Amino acid sequence: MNPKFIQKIASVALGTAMLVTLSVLIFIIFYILYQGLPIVSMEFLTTPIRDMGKSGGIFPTIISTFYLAFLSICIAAPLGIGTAVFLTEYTRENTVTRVIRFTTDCLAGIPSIIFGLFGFVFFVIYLGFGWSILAGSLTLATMMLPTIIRTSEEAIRAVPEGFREVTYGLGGSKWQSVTEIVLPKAFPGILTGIILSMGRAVSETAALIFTAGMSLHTPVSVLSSGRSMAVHFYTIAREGISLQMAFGTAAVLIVTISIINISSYLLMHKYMRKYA
Amino acid sequence: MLKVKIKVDNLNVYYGNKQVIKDVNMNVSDHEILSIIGPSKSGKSTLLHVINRLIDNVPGAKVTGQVCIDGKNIYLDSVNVNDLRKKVGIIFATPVPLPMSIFNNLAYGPRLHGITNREKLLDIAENCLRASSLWDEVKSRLDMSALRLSGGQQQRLCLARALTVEPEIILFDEPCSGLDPISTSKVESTMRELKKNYTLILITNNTKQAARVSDRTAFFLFGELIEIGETKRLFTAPKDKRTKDYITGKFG
Repeated sequence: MNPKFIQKIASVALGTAMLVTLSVLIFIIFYILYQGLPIVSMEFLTTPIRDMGKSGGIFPTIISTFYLAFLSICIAAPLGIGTAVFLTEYTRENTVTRVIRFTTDCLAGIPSIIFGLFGFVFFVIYLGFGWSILAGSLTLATMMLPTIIRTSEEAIRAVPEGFREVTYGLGGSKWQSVTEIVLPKAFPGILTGIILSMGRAVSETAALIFTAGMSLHTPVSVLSSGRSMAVHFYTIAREGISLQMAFGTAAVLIVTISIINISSYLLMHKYMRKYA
Repeated sequence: MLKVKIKVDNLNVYYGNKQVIKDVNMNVSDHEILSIIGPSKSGKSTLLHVINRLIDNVPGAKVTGQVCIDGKNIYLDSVNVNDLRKKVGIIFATPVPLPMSIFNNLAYGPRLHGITNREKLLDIAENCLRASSLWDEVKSRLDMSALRLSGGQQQRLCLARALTVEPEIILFDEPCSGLDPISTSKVESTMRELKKNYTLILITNNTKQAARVSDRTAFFLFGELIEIGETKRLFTAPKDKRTKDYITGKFG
């Protein structure tokens, strides 16, 4: 076979792979939206759950999801970014940093149900938070940390060394170089990591069933139990309560995640243009 | 004899086990331009990094001996490194404009030291841009991204930025290595202007440049200071054979 022919086969094979992937993805999204969207209405979004989910809306789950995502980001982002800054700017590469990085990578590969079990034993029982938004958020935060740390680290490392030297050369301190130039420059990359892990938090089920519980009510404080959209979807689909309501919830979930991704992409784009 | 600004005594620098500067003694006078020439790996850049202590950030680097600026040893524990670096500016071989507007590049240094008044910052920016002969080229577009300037303009911007924190000494680490001849001559004439108010040390791979701009020249080879003296004398009648070989292009 001549190289030209092989080249042709290769491009056909690669193109097919791309098409298959894309069509599976599009099929899933369209199928869920097709099944779910007809049931989504203002009423569906704003009324409480009735008959264990057979009728009524999904208002409590929207609120729970928002609380969980927001609170877990508030906990995980400062810790994760702080760790990344420490690992990249304040220590030199040595055994300790390598161990930290290795364990972080291991953490990222652990199934979420294990985090759920840990959260249940530690936050729910030992610290006495009960099934609550707080316990759920803390558990989600521990799950998000590896992603946030690693993406922030990559982003910070990608900032040219010269920018730091300029700051030092002008008499700036290390902290000033971090806050004035390194973090602003690394911000888009850090944000990407946060968005990725937010997507994970919004779609998490296993860890949350153990830690945030499955209450049907709208949470009123961080110590209330609450079920997120994903948990709600899982429950009513698995127990055969209402497949239609389940698809409706899934559709809202997909739209929510898309909105988060698109808006953060736009935000990032605007920021990068302003800063360049 | 002019007042001594920088005094280097028995300076040795090691990277791990490797010695990169060997027992160097030299003085730099106030308001002079001193060129440092020599082949690569001869410790020239390291010397600059010693003078503003950027070498503190290099893992495994060890400095022994004394470096005094205005008679004060800069390696004492009581010395504030940030104040020292404010006093000793540095220009790198590759211009490093920060990814922001021209104005913000110039305001960056003063802001690090707590100046936030916009009028004052504009004033500083104008003065420093004039001093680096860039003002006329950019005065109408201070809000433009600094990354859109040409290489030579970027280097002069970096020079202006170094001036914003009112240094007394400016170190140039091969500032013209990436510039075309016209930009180079602009930077050189700027350096001669700056001599009136600052002490300059210029590392260059271009011996002709050293001959054009500097008052005195030092020749380094493998970490040793081989010869230092009046530029004219060093280039016309070098005392050491190795200096002669280098400036006549026999090696390096």
